[in-house]
Amino acid sequence: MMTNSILSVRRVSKVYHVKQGIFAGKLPLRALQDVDFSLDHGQVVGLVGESGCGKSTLAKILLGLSMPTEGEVYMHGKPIRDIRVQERAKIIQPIFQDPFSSLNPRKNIAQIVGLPLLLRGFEGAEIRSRVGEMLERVGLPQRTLGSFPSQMSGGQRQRVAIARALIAKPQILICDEPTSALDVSVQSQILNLLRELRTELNLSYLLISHDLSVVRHMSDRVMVMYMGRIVEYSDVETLFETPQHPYTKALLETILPPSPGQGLPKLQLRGDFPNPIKPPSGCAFHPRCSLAQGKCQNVRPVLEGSEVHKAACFFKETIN
Amino acid sequence: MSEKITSFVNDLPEPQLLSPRQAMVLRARNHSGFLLGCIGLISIILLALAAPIIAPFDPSKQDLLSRLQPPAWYEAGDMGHIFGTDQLGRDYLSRLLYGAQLSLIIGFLAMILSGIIGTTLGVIAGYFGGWADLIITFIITTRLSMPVVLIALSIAAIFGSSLQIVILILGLLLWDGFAVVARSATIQLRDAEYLVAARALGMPLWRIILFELLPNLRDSLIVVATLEMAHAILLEAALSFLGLGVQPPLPSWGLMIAEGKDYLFFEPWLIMIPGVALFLLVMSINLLGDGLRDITSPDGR
Repeated sequence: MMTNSILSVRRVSKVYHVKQGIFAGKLPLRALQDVDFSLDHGQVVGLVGESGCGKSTLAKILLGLSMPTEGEVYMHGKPIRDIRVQERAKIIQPIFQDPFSSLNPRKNIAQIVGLPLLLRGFEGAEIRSRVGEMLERVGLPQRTLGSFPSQMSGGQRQRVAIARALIAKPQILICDEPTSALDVSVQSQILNLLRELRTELNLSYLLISHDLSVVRHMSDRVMVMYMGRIVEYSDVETLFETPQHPYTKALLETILPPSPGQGLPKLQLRGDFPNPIKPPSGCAFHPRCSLAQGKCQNVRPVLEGSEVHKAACFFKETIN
Repeated sequence: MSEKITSFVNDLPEPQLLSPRQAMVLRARNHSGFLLGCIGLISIILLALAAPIIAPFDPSKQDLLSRLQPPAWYEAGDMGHIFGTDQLGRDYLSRLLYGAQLSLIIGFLAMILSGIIGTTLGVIAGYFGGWADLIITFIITTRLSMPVVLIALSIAAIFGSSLQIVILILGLLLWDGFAVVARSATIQLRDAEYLVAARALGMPLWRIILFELLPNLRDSLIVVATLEMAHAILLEAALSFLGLGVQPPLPSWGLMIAEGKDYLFFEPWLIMIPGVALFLLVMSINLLGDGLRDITSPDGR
């Protein structure tokens, strides 16, 4: 294993078996296929894709809430299966999309943020002082200690969620759409907070989002995922300047221009996201691709390219 | 930058939102049904607790010379026996007060027992799903398809009837409401992100269920608990009326009604007094439960 990556994901696949009714038996749903990437110290990797493409499955596997069907995840070079959830929790913590459901409505902020420390057996006084520090760090006033989540705004709740994730000093945060449930004005506050915390605490993020501008603002590297596979993997500027996969290109074209009067961007995608139980043959993207040709229907292009930029498309050289 | 954010947040006005508890107290104060139920139940509990002090007679002391004396508001009645005496000359008021103790004890213990059984089953079914859910749902439907009174009667007939057995029978029969409510509430909360967050923290399963999940079921379970308590009290009265519940000479209200039914046409107050008492108790508990539902989940109605 590479020594400088704290998390490396090696050819991970996850298959769910989906029931098709009482008598029909179960069909495999390949939520993740051959996902391969690594996360270095202090690095932010963005993960982009439509809903249903496997982003959240990957997050679940990294958090230890679900086991990969194939492949292995290594943390500090050690297979993650051999690490107890409690140990893993010290290194990886999640931040969820919806701050309205990620905080227990029955507990006050001090209890919520202090929970990770309580589980590690810290003393009450120590927990209180560290919770106080942490709230200050994420920009929450001390008087919120006794408040309940229902008394706070979405942005404040997300700050609480960040405080809970960071209080036990993890090294990696899995941010699953951390801003998509927030007001636009609050989104940037939370993103800036995450950026500051990253440099200050030397954190690594896996940033899952469907908002490309968020990813561009935050990430060093970006993965684009389609139907459970990574179709493009590159550093962020290269990806945004010269995308090599038609799916990435289509996604980039959907970014709304900041100036009005230009109309809505024209979506380059045909059709809908395919049924993941019956994935298309060959390249999974071919039914929606404007460049698709005969061989795309039969042969699946592999993810290849240079160390900094990989794409899974036969036409990646000619796309731009 | 972060200092700027901190000072900005600190400059915001104090939040005016109420904590969940404050909001509940406010809603409770404006809910007349809840207040009425509270007053009714609390006064019955106080009367039952004070029975040894305020009851004018020993509830089982017979006085055959003054049997079937009517209550004080009848012409033939006198203030010595305000609610009159029964067919064995026992003071009706004293029996009523001690009977309240019995009803409350039975209702409360049966409710606790069925609450433990039902909540455990419901949470297991809801949280784990799959086979556990299939099996427990089957048990619940089996239980729901059984006629409660008939089953209770036959069990009482087989094992004999005593206070303990009545409580056991009721507790073992009335858990279905708890199980159904706990199951559906757990299914709703099972994938809540705060439970996922607790799992990602490596929190042991039993702690997640006990400290993260159960507090969120509490409100709906308390409502069920009040309804089941009223249910248990009524069933006990029914069993005692049929002679298979609490045995004489214990002063159960159901038993008092049963013993009074022979005199229905000539001394109707023998049935009316315990009947009204039973009605008031069950009514209070139901009003309380109804009110609790409105108070705890104002938007979930």
